[in-house]
Amino acid sequence: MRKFLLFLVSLLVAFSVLNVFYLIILSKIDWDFSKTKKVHSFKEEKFKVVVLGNSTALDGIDAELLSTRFGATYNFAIGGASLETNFIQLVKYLKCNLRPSKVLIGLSSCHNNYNNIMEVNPIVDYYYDSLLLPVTIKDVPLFKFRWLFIENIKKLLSRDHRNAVIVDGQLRINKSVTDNSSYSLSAVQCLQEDDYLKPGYKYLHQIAEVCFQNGIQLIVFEMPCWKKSQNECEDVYVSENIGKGFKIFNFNHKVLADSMYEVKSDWLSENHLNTSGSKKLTSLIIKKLFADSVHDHVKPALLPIYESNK
Amino acid sequence: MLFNSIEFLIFLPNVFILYWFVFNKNLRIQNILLLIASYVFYAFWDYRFLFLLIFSTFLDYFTGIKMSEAQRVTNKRFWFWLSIIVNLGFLGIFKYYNFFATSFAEALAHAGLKVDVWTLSIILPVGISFYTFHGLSYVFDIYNNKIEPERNFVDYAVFVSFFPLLVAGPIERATHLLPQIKVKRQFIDDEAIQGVELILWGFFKKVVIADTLSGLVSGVFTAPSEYNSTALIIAAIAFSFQIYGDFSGYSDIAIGTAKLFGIDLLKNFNFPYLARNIAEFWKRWHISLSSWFRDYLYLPLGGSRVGKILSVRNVMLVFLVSGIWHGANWTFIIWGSIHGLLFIPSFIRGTNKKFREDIVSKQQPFPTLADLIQVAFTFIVVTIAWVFFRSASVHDAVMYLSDIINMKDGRSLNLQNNQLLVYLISFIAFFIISTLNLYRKNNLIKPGKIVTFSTCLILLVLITLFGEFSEQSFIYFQF
Repeated sequence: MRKFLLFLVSLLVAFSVLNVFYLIILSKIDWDFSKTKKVHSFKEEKFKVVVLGNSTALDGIDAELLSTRFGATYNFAIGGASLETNFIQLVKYLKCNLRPSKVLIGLSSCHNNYNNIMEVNPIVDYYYDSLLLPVTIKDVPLFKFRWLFIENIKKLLSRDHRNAVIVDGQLRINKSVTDNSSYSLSAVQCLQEDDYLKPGYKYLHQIAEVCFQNGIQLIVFEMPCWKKSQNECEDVYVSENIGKGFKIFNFNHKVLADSMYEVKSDWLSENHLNTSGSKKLTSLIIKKLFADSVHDHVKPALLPIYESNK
Repeated sequence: MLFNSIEFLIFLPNVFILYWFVFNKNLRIQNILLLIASYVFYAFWDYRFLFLLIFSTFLDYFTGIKMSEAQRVTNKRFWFWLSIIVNLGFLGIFKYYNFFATSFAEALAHAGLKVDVWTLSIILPVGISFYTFHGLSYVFDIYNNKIEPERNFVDYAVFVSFFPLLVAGPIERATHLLPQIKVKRQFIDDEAIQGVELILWGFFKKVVIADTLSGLVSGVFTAPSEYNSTALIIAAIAFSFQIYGDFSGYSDIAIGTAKLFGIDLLKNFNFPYLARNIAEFWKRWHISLSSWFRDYLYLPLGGSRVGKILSVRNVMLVFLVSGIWHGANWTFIIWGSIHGLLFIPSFIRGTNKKFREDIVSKQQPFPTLADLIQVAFTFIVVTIAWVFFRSASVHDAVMYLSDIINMKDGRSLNLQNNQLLVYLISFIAFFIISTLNLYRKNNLIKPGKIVTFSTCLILLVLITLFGEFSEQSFIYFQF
C-alpha cells in the first residue's frame, strides 16, 4: 500500500507543479493574461475613453485611433468576457482611477446568445478575486484556463498569431479570412428593446447605472459579423428607467457593413474584424457617434425628461 | 452514477478507504461493503430499478440452489427454465416489447390488416442486459454441472452487481469472478498502480476522444441529408472512434477500478481496430459478450460440429442475437447481419482462426504492408456497419451510405481551428499511448516506473485540458 500511496502523492505533486508552471507560462506569454494583469494594476490612470466587450471588441476596436480624437483610450475587452466581466472591470477601474468621459461597449449578439449562462471570465476572476488558491476542482489552472492552451499553441503554428501585438489594449492580428458567406436575412431575427431587457443583459443595465451615477457617457453598439449573420435591423432604444436610457447602435446592419468592409481583407473570422477592419469600424464610431449630438442616444420622445433629469 | 461524474470522484476514494483501511480484516464485511456500494452506485441512476436488480439476483441465487438440490432431472429443468423465462421475460418487457409489438403491427399493415397494438411507456433499466447475462451464465453453468451454486447470498449478489461492471460490463463469469469474491483479497501495489493507469486511460478515451467527437457525430447523424459526402465519411470514421473510446474507455475504468479492490475482471477489448478480418475483430471487440454467445448459444446449438450448413446457421444466429442484444431496432439487427455475412466466408474457408497474434510481435516488431492493408480494409468495413448501428433507421443508414457513394454535395463540417487542434493533439496522444500499450503487451518494451508515471501524468493533463465534462452518459448504458 505504501508504494501505491507514494505513487498517488507523487502524481498529485507533479500535477500541482505542472499547474503552477502553466500559470507562470501563461502570465508571460498570453495576451489576455498579461493584459488583465496590467489592467488590474492600473492606478490613477486618466483614460478619457474606456472600451469594454469580448474578443470581437478586443480585435475590432482601435483604441489608438480613438485616442487621436478623444484623448487617452484603452481597450479593456478580453476574449470570452461576459457583460458581468465587463461590469467587474469597470467598477474596479473606477475605484482606483479617474473616471473616463465615455465608456464604449461592443456587443456581439450576432454570434453570442447573452441569455445563455455566462460566467465571469476566468482570467478576470483569477486577478480580481482575492482568493488565489484553488478552491474547487474547476479552479485548477490547467482546467480553469484550458482554452488558453490551444490559443497559445496557435502561436507556435501560425506566424500571424506570433506577430500579433497589443496596442492600447487592442489585439492586432494581420490575418485575413475571406467572407464567402451570403446573406440570410430571413433567418436573422431583429433584437427589440424587450430582448435587451432580458436577464442575459442584466449587467449591461448595471454598467449603464454605474455610468449614469458617475456622469459617464455610455455608447453601446452591436459589433459586425459576416454577411450570413448581418441584418437590416434598426438601432434600439433601451430606456428601462426614464432618463437613464441608452441607444444600441446596430453596426451589424447589412447596408452599413456592405459599404465598409472588404470581404477579402477585413475579417479575421466570421465574427471578428482584423486590424484593417477595426480601423474602419473605429472611424465609423468616431464619425457617427461622437460627431453627433448626445441627444442621438436618447429616444426622441424621452428628450424632455432626459433634459429635466440632467 | 456515472464514472465521469463528481459523485464518483467522491464515492470511489471513500469506498476504497473503508474497504482497505476500516474493514480489511473481515472478508464478509468487505463483501457487504462492496454490495452496499454497488447498490448505492446503481441507485444514483434510478433507485426504483434497484428492486428489479435485487429480484433478479435473488431469483438466480434461489433457482441455482434449487437446481443443485433437485433429485430429478424434470425438477432441475423446471428451476432452470423458470430462471431463463423470468430473466428473459424482464429483458423482453423492458427492452423488446414495444419493438416487437410495433413491428408486428407494421407487418400486418403491409398485409392490409390494421391493428392497434398496445405499447408500453417505460424506460429501460440501465445495465439490464449486462446483469441479466451475468445471472444467465451462472444458471447455465449450474445446469451444466460446471459449477456448484453459491450458498452465500451476499457473495453471489456481489458477483452480479459489483459496481465497476454493473451497468456496462465486462460480462463476467461465475467461474472467474465468484472465486475471487470468496477469498481474501490482497492489496498488490503494482496491480493498483496499473489500475490507476487503466482508469486514467479509460477516462482519456471517454472524455477526450469519445465525448469531444460526440458533437460532430450527432450533428451529422441527426440530419445526414444536409451534409456532403466528405462530412459523412468523416462523421462515420469519427463514430468508429467515438464508440470505441466510449465503450473501451468504460471497460478500462471498470477493470482499473476493480484492480483497486484486488479483483481481476475479464478483458473486454484488445486493439479491435488492428484486426485483419472480421473474425479477428470479434476476438478483439466486446470480448466478454462474444465469448458469452460462443459458450451459451453457439456451442449449445452444436457449434461447428453439426455440419457446414447448420454451423453457418449457428454463426448467423449468434450475430443476429448479438445485434438485437444491443437494442430493439432494425438498425442493430442489420448491423449484426452485416458482421455475420462478412464472417461466414472466412468461417467456411476455415480462416476465421487465422490471426491469433497481434500485428506486432517479438519476431516481427513492425507490421507488414499486407497487415496494414488488411487492417485498413477491416476498419472500413466495420465503419460501414457502424453507420447502421448509429443511424436512427435502416432507411437513414442506406441513404447515408448512398450519399457517400454518389459524392453528394451539401454542407461541410466547418470545424473551427481550435477544435481541429484539440482533435489533432488528442489523437496524437491516443496513437502514441495505444502503440506503447501494444508494444508493452507483446513484451517488445518494458516500461519502467518513470514511463508509467509519466504516462499517468500526461493523461491527467490531457483529461484536464481537453476533457468534456458535461457528464455525457456512456453509449453502452442504453444496452
